[in-house]
Amino acid sequence: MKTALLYARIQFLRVFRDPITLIVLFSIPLILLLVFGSFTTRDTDDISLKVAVINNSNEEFAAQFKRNIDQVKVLNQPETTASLNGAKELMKSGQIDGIIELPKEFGKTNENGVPSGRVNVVVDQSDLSTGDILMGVMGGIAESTNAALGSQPPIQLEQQSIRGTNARMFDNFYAMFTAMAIMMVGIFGVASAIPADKKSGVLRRMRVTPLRSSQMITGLVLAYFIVTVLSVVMMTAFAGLVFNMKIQGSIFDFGVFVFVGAALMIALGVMVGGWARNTTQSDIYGQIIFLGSLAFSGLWVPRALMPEWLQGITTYLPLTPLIEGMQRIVTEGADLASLGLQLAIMGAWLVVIFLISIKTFRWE
Amino acid sequence: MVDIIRAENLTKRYGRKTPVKDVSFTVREGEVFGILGPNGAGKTTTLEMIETLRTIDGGTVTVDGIDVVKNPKAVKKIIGVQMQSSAFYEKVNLREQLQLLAAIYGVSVDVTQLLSEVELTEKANEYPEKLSGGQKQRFSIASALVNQPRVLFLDEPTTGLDPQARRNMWDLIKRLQKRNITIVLTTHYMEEAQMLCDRVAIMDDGKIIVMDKPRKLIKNLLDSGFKKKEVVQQADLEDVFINLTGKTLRK
Repeated sequence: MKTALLYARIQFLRVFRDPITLIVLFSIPLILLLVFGSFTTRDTDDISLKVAVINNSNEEFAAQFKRNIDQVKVLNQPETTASLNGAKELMKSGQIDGIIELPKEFGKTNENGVPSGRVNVVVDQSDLSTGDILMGVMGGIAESTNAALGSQPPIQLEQQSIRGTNARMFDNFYAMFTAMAIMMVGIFGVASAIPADKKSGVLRRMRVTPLRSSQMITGLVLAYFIVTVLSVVMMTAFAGLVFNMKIQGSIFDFGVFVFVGAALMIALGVMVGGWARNTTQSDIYGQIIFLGSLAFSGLWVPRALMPEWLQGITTYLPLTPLIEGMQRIVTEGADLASLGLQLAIMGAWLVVIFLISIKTFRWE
Repeated sequence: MVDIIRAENLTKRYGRKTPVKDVSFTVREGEVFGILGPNGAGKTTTLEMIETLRTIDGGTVTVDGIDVVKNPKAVKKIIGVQMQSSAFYEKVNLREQLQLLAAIYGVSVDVTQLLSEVELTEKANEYPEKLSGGQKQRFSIASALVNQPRVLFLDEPTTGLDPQARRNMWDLIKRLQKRNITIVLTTHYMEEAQMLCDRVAIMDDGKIIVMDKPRKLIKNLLDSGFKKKEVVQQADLEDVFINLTGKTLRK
C-alpha cells in the first residue's frame, strides 16, 4: 500500500507540474461556468424582450390588462399584428421572442363576480431562458392584477411549449459543467497519461521491477481521484462565491454522486488509455467519447428536446445519470433514494468498464 | 567462479519467425559478459527473456539459481535493468524517481550517494527530460542500481553518445565491475566489447556463433592464418577527436 500511495503522489505531482494538463482539467470547466453563468444571471433591468400581445377578448378588463402590459418596460412590442398566426410567423422569423395571447373568454366575470381568465404565453421551444424570463415578467403582472381583484387568484398564467422550472438556469449549468469536469479528468487526464507512459517506455521499465500492476493502477486512480475532488471543490466554491449557487440537497448525497461519477470516469480513462497503443489513439477515442457525451447527455441540447426514442437511449449513457443526479440534488434537493436509477446505471457501467479494462490493458 | 546466469536452449517465436533459437550460455559471477551481433541478431530479445519482460517459448534460464519462468518476482528483485530507450516518468525529478524505485523494491536508498556514483549529484532536482543523452544513460544505470542488484543488464549503453560520454560510461562500467556486480551488456561497438568484456558471445540470426574471451577469439582468428589487408595505423580518427577535444564530459 505504501508503494501505491507513493505512486499516487508521483502521479499527482505530475498533473500539477504540467501546465497544459492543468489548463485542460481545471480552467476550461471554470471558464465555461463563468461565461455561461454571467449571461444567465444577468440583471432583469438589462433585458428587453420583443413580444406581440394578441387580445382576442372584447371584455373591457382584457383591454385594461393589455394596457398594463404595454406599460411594462421589459416587454417591447416592435410589430403590431392582430392575429395569433401572424404573430407566430413573426416569431418563427426571429422578429419577436414571444407571444402573449389573451383568449376570447379572458376577462369574463366568474362565479365570484370578478373578471378572470387564462393568459397564454408562447415562446420558442429551443429558447428556454427567454421562456423563463417572460414567465417571470408575466407572473409579476398577473400577481399584481390578482392582488387588486381580491383573495382568489382569478388570473392564471399558462406557459406553452416549455416546462416551467423554479431552478435558476445557473444551478443547472453548474451541475452540467461540474459533471463535464469530472469526465474530463478521466478522458483527458487518465486516458492520455497511460499511453504517454507507454510511449516513453517507462511502463515497460517498471515491468522489470517488482511493481505490481494493481499497485500502479491503484496509485493512478487515487491520484486522479484527488484531482477530481479538487476540481469539483473549486467549481463549487466558485459557483457559490461568485454566483450564489446553493446545493439544495444534502452535501453527503452530492458527495456520493461525485465519488461514483469520478470512479466511473477514471475507470473509463483507464480503459481507453490502457487499450490505446499511443496518445494519438487515446486522443481520438477520448474525443469521440467526450464529444458524444456532450452531445447526447444534455450539455449541448437539453435532452427534453430530443425525440422520445433518443431520450430513452441517452438515459443510459455514462454521463447522463451523473448530470441528472447532480442537477436534481443541486436544484431540487433530491435524495439518493430517489436517484436509484441513476446510481444503478453508473454502477453497471463501472462494472462493465472495469471488466473490459482488465481484458484489454496493454503494457506496450 | 560460480555461474550466476544459466541459459539452456532459450527459444523465442513470433508466428513463423524464430528470433532466438536454442541459445545456451552461462555468465559467471562478477564478470562482464558481452552479447554482440548485428541488428536483428536476437540480442535484445535474449536479454528481455532473462529480464522477465518476454515470455520464454522454449528452454530454461536461471538467475542466481532462480528459474525465470517459475519465479519471475524473485528474479526481478535481484536484477537491475538499463533499457535501450532511457525510460523515466516525465515531470518527476531524479530524486523522486529513485525514491519511487526504492519504495517499489522495499529498500532504503541514499539518493545523493547513488547520484554521485554516476556524477549527477547536481541534477537531483531536475526532470529527466532536461538531461543530455549521456546523462540519461548514466541516470538509467543509477536507477538500475537502487536495489543493489546481483546482475546488471545494459542494453547498448553507449549507442548515440558522443566520444566523451562514451568513455565516461566505460569508466562507470569498470567501476561497477570492481564492486563485483555481474554485468551483461549488448553492443555494436567491438572496441567497447574488447575493452570491457571478460567474455563475449557473438550472435547472428538468433543463434550464438561463438563464445569466448575477446583475446582468445582474436588469437584463434590469427592462428587460422587471418591477416588484415591494410596495416593498422597507430591512431584513428577517434584518437584525433579525443586528442583535440579532451576527455572532459560535456553538458
